[in-house]
Amino acid sequence: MKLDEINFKNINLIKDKNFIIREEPFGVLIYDKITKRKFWGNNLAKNIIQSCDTEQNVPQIFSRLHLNKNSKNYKEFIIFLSELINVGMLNSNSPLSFKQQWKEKKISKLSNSYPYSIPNITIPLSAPLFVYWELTYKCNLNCKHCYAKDRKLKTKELTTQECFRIIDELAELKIFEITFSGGEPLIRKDLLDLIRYANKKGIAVLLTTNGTLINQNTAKRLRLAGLQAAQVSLDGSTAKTHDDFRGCNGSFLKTIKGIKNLVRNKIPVIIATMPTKFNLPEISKILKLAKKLKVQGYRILECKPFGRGKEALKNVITLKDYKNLLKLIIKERQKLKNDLFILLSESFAFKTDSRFSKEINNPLIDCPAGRSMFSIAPDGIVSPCSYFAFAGLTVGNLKKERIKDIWDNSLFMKKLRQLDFSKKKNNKICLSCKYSNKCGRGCRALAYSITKDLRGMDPRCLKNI
Amino acid sequence: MKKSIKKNQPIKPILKEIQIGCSVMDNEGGSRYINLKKNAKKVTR
Repeated sequence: MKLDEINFKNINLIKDKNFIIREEPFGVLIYDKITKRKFWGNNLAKNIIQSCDTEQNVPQIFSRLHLNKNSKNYKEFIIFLSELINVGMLNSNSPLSFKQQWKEKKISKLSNSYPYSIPNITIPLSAPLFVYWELTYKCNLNCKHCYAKDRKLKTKELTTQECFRIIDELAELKIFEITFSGGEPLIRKDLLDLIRYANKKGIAVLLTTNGTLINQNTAKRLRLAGLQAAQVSLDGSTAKTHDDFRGCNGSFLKTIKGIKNLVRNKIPVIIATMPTKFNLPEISKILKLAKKLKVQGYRILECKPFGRGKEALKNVITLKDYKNLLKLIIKERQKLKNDLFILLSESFAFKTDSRFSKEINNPLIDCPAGRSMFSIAPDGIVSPCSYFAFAGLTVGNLKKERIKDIWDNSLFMKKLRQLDFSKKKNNKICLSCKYSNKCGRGCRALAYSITKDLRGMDPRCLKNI
Repeated sequence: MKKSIKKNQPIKPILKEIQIGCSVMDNEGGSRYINLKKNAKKVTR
């Protein structure tokens, strides 16, 4: 079917309720609450999206936008609408399945394209896109690597009411996702209330947990509260390896049970492993276990030298080991592609440029700290990300200040958004590297903690081998 | 002033999928591959 053969006059378009649409000075940011896909659109895209949801049909929307009525413009407009329909953002009233027509024509470029970082935006976002919220530093385990375990709060943890108020603010700002973390977030008795409240306010809630406190009943209550997905840590394929690392006998079995309970309750689970010298030979077995447990995803994390992680560094694998691990992961990813999606964590992705594998050909993601995310500590202290907080760089206190004020006015976060890497004189490796504009430059907190320069080189770069 | 606004107006609507680093679900666009939609339909809809 050709474009001219579709009678657009009979088609009205309605925005799907599962999408958060947030206006920004440069255009629009869109979030699919179901699939968690995120989109960026320019100003014309924003105007078109705003114009939908009216009683008008497609040609009327087109003329309302005061676009030039030449055929090229109209075609672009229709192709754009088809992309919105393909990603599920718009629904049409067309009985002839407008969506189907376009799907058959495979006209949408979006469904086949790879996701990118937000295109060069010099204007800061109106608010973060996601928030990493450590609800408590308390934990029932005693993990060797934990950055939170030894941290002491200067003031008390946020109360339930204070958390509700913060969630209200986050909802007003149209934040897409909250990840509740810790410590172990399930130690907090009000966790279910907080998930339920955030969910009611339209924010997607994710959870990072050690899984040991999730019995059948808790998993069911988490699902009913609206939890969208959980990341559970698993650091060995046997009880010995996992329990040694987690500092608690019996935690392996409890974690496995917790994962099973989440899966049984249809909560998508991502298993995360921190590779160390001890569990490196077991990674393949952990992957097999993950497949057997029917979780949805798997990711490799990385130990960073903050908090107790400083001591754990002696157990951390070398860059050469990482390189080999990456080879293994890529091989397994291909092998398991129908059963388990293996995600490359941000630091892992950072290590992989086009020198390394043809499979990873997307431009890598920039550090989101202070640019599209921030972190909240249990006492309400805000930092661009948790790692910066451990380096002593915090930007506000939610017991006293409002999120919007901190986000807009923090000098430190402004600095992070405007880092100019081209002027970095003493980082010759990055300056001479032809991948430096594609690698995402790794973790800024880590680079800062080692080099005392926000534009410093991330020590985990494979060029350091 | 009016002229410059007109000049800067984009002529083509652009929509791009983006990803954010460090998010639990989002690395390398993982959420696209993880079948959240199927589960969400079963559970929440």
